[in-house]
Amino acid sequence: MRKKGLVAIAAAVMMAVSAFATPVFADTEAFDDYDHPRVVEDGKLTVGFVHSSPDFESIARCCQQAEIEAAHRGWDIVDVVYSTDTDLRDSILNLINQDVDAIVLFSLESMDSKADLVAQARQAGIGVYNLDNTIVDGSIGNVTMPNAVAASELIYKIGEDHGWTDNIGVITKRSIRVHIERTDPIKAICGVYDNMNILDEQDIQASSATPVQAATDYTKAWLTKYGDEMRADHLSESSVLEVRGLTKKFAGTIANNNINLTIGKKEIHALCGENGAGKSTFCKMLTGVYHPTSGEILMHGKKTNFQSPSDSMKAGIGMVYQERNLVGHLTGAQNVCLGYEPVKGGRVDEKEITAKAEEIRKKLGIDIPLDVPVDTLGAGAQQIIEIMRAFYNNPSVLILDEPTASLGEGEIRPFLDFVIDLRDQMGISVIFISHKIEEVFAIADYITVFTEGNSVLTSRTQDITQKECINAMMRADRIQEISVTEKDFSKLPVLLSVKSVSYGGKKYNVPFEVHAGEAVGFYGLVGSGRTETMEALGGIRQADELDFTFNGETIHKTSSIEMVQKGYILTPEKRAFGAFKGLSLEDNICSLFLNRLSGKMGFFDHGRAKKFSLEVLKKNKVKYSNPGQNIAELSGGNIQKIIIGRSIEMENLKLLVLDEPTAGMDLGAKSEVYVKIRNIVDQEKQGVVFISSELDELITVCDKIYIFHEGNISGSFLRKEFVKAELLSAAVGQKVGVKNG
Amino acid sequence: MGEKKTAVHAGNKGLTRYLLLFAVVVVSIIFGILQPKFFSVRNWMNIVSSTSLVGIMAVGMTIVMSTNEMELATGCEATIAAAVAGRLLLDGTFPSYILAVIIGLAVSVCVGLLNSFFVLKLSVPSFIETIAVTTLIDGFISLATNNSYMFSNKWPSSYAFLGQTRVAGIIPVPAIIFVAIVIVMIFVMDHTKLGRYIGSVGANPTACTNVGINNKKIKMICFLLCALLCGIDGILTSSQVLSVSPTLGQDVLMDAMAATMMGATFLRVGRYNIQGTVVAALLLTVIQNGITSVGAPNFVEDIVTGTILIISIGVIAMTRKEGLPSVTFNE
Repeated sequence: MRKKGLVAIAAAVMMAVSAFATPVFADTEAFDDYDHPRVVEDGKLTVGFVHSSPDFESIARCCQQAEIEAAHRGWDIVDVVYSTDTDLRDSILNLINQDVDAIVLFSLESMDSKADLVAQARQAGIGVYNLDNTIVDGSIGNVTMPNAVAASELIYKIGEDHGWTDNIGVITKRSIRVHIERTDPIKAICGVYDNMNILDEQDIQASSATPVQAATDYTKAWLTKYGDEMRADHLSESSVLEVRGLTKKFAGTIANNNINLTIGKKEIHALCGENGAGKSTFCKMLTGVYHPTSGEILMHGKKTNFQSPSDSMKAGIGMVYQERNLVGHLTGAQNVCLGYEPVKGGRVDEKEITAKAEEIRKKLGIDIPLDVPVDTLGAGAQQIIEIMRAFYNNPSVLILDEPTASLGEGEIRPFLDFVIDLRDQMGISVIFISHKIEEVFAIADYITVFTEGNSVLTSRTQDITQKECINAMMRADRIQEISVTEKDFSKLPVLLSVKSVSYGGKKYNVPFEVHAGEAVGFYGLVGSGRTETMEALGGIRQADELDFTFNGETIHKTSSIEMVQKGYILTPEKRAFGAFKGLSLEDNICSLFLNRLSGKMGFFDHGRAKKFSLEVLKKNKVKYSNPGQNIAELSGGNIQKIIIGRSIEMENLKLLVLDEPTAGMDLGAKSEVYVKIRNIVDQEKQGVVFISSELDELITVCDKIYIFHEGNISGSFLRKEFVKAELLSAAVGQKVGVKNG
Repeated sequence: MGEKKTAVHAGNKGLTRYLLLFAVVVVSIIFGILQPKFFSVRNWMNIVSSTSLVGIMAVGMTIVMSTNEMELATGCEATIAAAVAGRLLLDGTFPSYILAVIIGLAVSVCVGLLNSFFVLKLSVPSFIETIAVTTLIDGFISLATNNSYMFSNKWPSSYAFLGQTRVAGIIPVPAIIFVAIVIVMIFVMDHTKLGRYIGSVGANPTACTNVGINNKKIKMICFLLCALLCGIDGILTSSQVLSVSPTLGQDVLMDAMAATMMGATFLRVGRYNIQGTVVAALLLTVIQNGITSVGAPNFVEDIVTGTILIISIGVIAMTRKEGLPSVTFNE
């Protein structure tokens, strides 16, 4: 069935006549001293391909491509391999004697010595084409680049020269690669191409854009005409969900631009991308919440037209959102059946609801109570109930949006295993949205990367590295290398020195020191007391007893205002506590600087304020529309940038305490924060305390890390001692020796 | 926050959730001791009748407020139904009482449509929208009633039927209608998909959208249902006093609102429910009636009612972490 298609179709790689003027063909005077190559009446050429063995891989591939294209045109191929120069001469002679119509020489060897043979061939009306970049008298086409594009063009030229007027052409994988159509249906149609490798980008770029573009356009047109039949056969067999040219435009922005994607059976397909890359818009179109501006979604090969979430659910797409949304007063079973309650005699059938929920629970093998109101259950259990709900309609595709975002350390691995079971035991395909690369590489079969609304990469997980994936996820200019030079802190003044703090009725042993020019990290599990300690020192949290030294001053009692004036600034974890929600960006920034920005009589200078806030916004690379807009309209990451940015502007800043500053930020924004921290400390006048739950970022940025456990410091590590395993042990309570760093 | 949750659910178990019912019993006994006539059948039928007139509107409000929307237009919905019906029948030439009633109810439902349009289509916060609509409709009411107390001796005798008849000489018709409405509404709210969705939309609208429930459709049904019930209430009230006062609905509104809020302390603490609304309406009427029966001055009634209202709302505010549903509108 496929072969029939092959023979029937091969699309023409059409090139504008002007293509002959491109640099690919060095020789533009096509016909020279010799006669025009013979015209073959029935279009059935016989072409001899001469190549050496062993040979450069690129040349071998080029030759292979050419032969395939020739074969698809229905030409006869004589494949000749040589290994020595004598062989080469003999081969050519042989071909001349066989009276082939054209000879193609895939050889980088100098053709000078074969000039006589070339002349002989040309006199017989045989076209001679070669891959050498030396122009040989009599050689019609010279290809300077041994790549598949060149091969396509070469074959085209041969056809043209020999009067091959048939409208049938050939799709090459090469021409497929440059354009954005999916390769899979083409692959299926042209099964023989499975053996071909994808050539490097450099090869492609070197050739002229025009022939390739022409190939692209023609292939698209051909696909439109013939593609559906081929695709339907191919797809109904192996894909569950297919998306073609899916685009979503909002006023002024393109959230999703021409996305093509296929999800096969029993496949875990990861979708990676930064915040704002378009992943959630994409999912909302799959679940019927948004209507696509253009493009199609196919389930099991059939076109769909989702008007609402229930259509999508009926079609077999289940979705588990990032934020848990359950109806608190209903039980687990009732939440699972929400929206699709079975009804008996006008009443909701509670027994049936319980039964159905039990069924799903058994199928998934989980163990949580389904008969209590869900607002009494913990986050992990609620997440499971959300997933169970997605199973209610027997989905064939399950979309999980950042499912591990709210799970604790110990819950992630079991959850990932659960997802693998879904694929293996229940045969469900999973779209796994995550920006945690390690998890993605742990379980996904395929990875697709979204960037700024486009799908830029789709690959089998085994075919790419984590680094390539991350690079694809962001614009190259956003990741910056963090370099931390070792400093001698004994020469720098101690900004903060603490032995213990007491708050909430208990005393905690937290011996630590922060020098000027030092970035100190605080790591620990949630609730280990890092925030509480710094809040107590900063006068924000009521402390029972204080005994610490800040900037040379011993302090036993203080208030937040005093500490701020001394230069101790803390940016809180919850952005809600740092930003003034209803106010503008300008107001938020200038709130700390009212004295500085006011005139003598206490009148606020709006002009200076505006200038100042614009400066701060620019310095911190905040994405905003105008400084008067409501801060609540910005993304979380940008709000955080403003909060940190304005703190840095404090003139008397001595110690900046950042509490989970990168929570919820995308990789690019996080990188900017790290650079900012290093910039602050590298000026050696201020210190930074960096509280975080991500050990990796602390290891990247900090000079020293203290580990907190149940309110006390259970370990301290200098940069040269950073061993992740040891840091983690200290965090869970295995003391590694408390040192005063 | 964990402590609050357990408080809510502790409030859901045990006897504290029946507090309101105990209060009715206790208060009745106190009044009965102070004034034996309080317990006469005739007095109790009066109580039941008054409760019905507050209760029907309160049930409507409960339904809308369960979706986390405020409904302060109930007063005008009641009044306009009565005003339109009364106006049509004013000169005695209108062919059918029932038809006039139906038209009155239809107008009331139209107000419900108006609410739906502004709140659901134009996203006007319901708190403000229902207040604004009240002002608007009050204008029309003034038009219909000629800005005064409307009554006519040309009204058919059937006008008085609904409000003043007593079945078997004892049970007032409004009470029967009220009981019927309550039974139907409890069934709907607790046992049907619609009721399930009404509660869910109020508790977590995002969860509902995610599963394909049409939040706006549910809310609209609630607004229309409430308008219908208020219209019925208006017709019954005007029938009972054989006149249409421009403030007919307003007088009942505050009591109905109080009953709805207090009802949230009953049975399912923190969530509006019809059972609670009914018991609370009864309690309010008992207090009002009792105070009159014992001959205490009117202001005592206000003080007592106000105190109970504050306490019950306070209880909800303390036990529900989000505070009272449907009253915050800044988020």
